[in-house]
This record gives sequence, structure tokens and C-alpha cells, in this order.
Amino acid sequence: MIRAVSVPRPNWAACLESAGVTFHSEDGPYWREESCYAFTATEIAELEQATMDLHQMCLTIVDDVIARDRFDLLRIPPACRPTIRASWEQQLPSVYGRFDLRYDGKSPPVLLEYNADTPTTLIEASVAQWYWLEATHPGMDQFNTVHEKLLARWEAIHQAFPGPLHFTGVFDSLEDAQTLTYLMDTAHQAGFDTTPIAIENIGWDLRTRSFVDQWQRPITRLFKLYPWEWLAADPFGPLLLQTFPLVIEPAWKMILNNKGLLAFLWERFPGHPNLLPAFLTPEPFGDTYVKKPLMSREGKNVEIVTSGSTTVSPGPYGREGWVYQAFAPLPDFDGWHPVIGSWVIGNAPAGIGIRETEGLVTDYTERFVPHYFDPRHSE
Amino acid sequence: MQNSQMKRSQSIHLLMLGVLNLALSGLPHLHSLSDKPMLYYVEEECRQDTRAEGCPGVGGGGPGETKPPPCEGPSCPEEKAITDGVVRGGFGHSAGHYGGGALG
Repeated sequence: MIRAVSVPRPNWAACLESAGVTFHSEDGPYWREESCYAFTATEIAELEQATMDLHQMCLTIVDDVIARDRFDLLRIPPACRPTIRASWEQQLPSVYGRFDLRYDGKSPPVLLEYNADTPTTLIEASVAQWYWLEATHPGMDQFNTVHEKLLARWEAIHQAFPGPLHFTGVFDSLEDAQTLTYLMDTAHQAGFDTTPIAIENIGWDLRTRSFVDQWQRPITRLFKLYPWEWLAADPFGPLLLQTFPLVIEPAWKMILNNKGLLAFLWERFPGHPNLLPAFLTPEPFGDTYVKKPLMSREGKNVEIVTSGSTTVSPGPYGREGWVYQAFAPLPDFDGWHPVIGSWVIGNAPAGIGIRETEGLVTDYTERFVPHYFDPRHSE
Repeated sequence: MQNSQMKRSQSIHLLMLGVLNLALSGLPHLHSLSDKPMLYYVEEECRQDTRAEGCPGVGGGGPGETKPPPCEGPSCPEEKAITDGVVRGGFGHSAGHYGGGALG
């Protein structure tokens, strides 16, 4: 694994915009292609295997939390639990998730956290970096079947749950709107009749006691780019939990998106090479660890404690509680710290996207950097 | 691992990005997060007068605890948010609190 120099496409901005990444420079330079990461085929195989193993371990944890009623430890509200249980018992389908891994090509990939409910950077990892590869490194390959696997996953879901599918989220956010649009595109290609609706426009019909869209049509299947815990806490949350339409991602993802997952994984699979030690209390670590809110996003409220010195990322999270993880600093490549976002679509590893930051916490200052691997180079 | 699992066998077809972007720009924003959904008014009334059971947030409290369902009926202040028997603005509040968008 190396960080290499790459010549940007002269029309890189137009290329990105045509693929849907219209937010490439929205809050500063987000997409960067003057550099890239290069892997060997062996390294890619290692990332793929780790992703598969982590996915299987995570499913074990869902089963375990439900069977042993461990929701309290995750601070999951009691009102959500019947919905989570039902969604798991009915095996309601998941489309996607993204493991964030620490990897340097020398030691095994390890899980930093799992964005199981509302992962973004999807278009970048799927179509945008693929077009970059075709234009700049035509002889190389890329760990990227995100698009094909999305199509296949939607097709499978459409066979099991045919009918209209609404897509909701915060459309005022350009990144979220584009991610939703891309997902709608793939669902449409798989046969779904798709409708976008801004989250604030979802209606509750008092006569039929059901959710309706902006044209008063019933919402029976809903893809939401909006966290489950936010849905549950909003005024309509109890109605959603009671009426139980098909929601994607399903409610059981609330267990996996909770960072308490990290402690449960380590408890269930201690010493696994793709895990870091993690606990619900800091005592096992002494004076060096990373403190993460059970529910947080974008690296907010993450604290790195090293020998009594603390670095804090600001944010509004943390009131539900914390998980404590061994400190494994991101590797340093030319002063940049990459994190590997490894995608699971359905039940299969589907590719990676790389974000890098100057600091050790991957936050809003992140930059997306494309990658390739040499299929002839296996060492 | 097989290379065929990684390398695409066909070109990507994006059917809707351009069309949908246009459609989204014309989405009817009955409420927007920035100009306060109707239920914010309800919450304000509930803060001033908590007699109406089921006012959003009343009875809630503990960390992570969900709020009771919106009240319904002519005595409930939420009638303000009702159009043709449909209440809107009951989702999206948390996005306002946490800054929207930034989902990771």
C-alpha cells in the first residue's frame, strides 16, 4: 500500500459532477485526485476477507444482543426494542453498510467503527472513482463492485417486496440529496417505482393512521438516509415504531450502528486480528485510549487520550454514554492519515473508498482519494 | 477472491441523476428545516401550556427516551399542522438539532 502521485484529469470537476458528485468542493477541497492509493492484489484480498469476517461477526452480535436482551448497555430506548426484534425475526433486508478500517498494508486491517445505518461517500466510492480509474489507470483494477452489487441487492429486495419505494432524508444537504438520488437510480434500475420525499414532508394521515407522501399516497416501503435514533426521537417516532412499514436500513441496524458494538465484538471474539480491544469502561486501558460516544457521526465528540493528554473533537453527541477503544493511530502517508471505508452490500464485501485527513480523527475535513490495485502484483 | 468480483464487467448506467436532480429542485417543500415545521409551533405551545397530553416532549425525559405520539383531535394544538387530515413536520427535528446532513 502506497500513496502515489497521480495526474488529475483536466476536466475532473465536470467528470465528477456528471457522475453525481456535485459536492466535490462544497466545504473546501473534498475530492483530491492529484494523489491516489495503490495496493497489491494480496492487500485487496486481505481487506476483502476482513470485511467478510467482520460482517459475519456483526450478525452474530445482533443475534446475541436480541437473545440476551442487552439493549440497556447500548442505551437503545425501550420503545425501539420490539421493532428491532421484529425486524430481525423477519430478516428484513439491509442494503449496505461501511466498515471504517485502519490499514497500512503491513498489519491486518482493524475495525475502527461501523457505519451500518446511514453511510455516505457512496457515489464517490462507486461510480466516481471507477470513472477516474478508467481515465487514468486503464491497465489497473479497483476493488469496486459497489454499483453492480447495489443493482443486484435492489433486485433481490424488489422480488421479495415489490411495490413503490419512497426515499427520504435531508434534501437540504447536497451530499445527502445526491446520495439518495444515486440510490434511487440503482433501485429504479432494479425495478422499483421510486419517489423522493423530504423527511419533513412525510405526513401522518389521521383517518387511515398511516404515513403518506406529498401526494397523500401511502408510504409502505421507505429508504431513509436519516438515522434510526433520530427517527425514533422525532415526534413521529412512536407512530413509525407502531405502524411498522418496511424501512431500509432495517431497525436491527440500530444495534450495529451503535459504537457499543465495538465492545461487544471484542467480548465475543477476543483477540481477533481484525478487532481492537474495546470496553464500556476505560479502566482496562490505563491512561491511553480513544473514547467514542455510543451514538455519533462524522468523528464528532471523539476523544483521544494519550498518557493523560486529551484531544477532543467538538460535537453534540455523548449523552447516551461512551465506548472505549484501544488507541491505534491511523497510518501516516506523506503527512496524511487514510481510513479505509470498506463496503458491504447485502452480505458481500463490495469495494473500498479512502478518506484521508491531516489529523488522527476522520472528520469533516476529510478528503476522498481514489485507489487502484495491480492485478498482476500479488505481493 | 476472484478478479471478476472486483472488476466491473459492464459500464455503469446512470439513468436518473440528471433528471432527478431537476425533479428534486422542484420538490414541494411543505415545510423546511430552516423555517420551522409546524410542529415547532406545537412544541412552543406545549411549553407554555402542558395540559394537552401527548404534546411532543411532555412525559419524555430520560436519555434516549422517545417522545409520545402527536396528539390528535380538536382539543389538541396540533390541529394547526393538519391539512386535509394529514399532519406533517413530525420528522426532521433531530436533523435540526444535530446539524442535518453530516451522517458519515
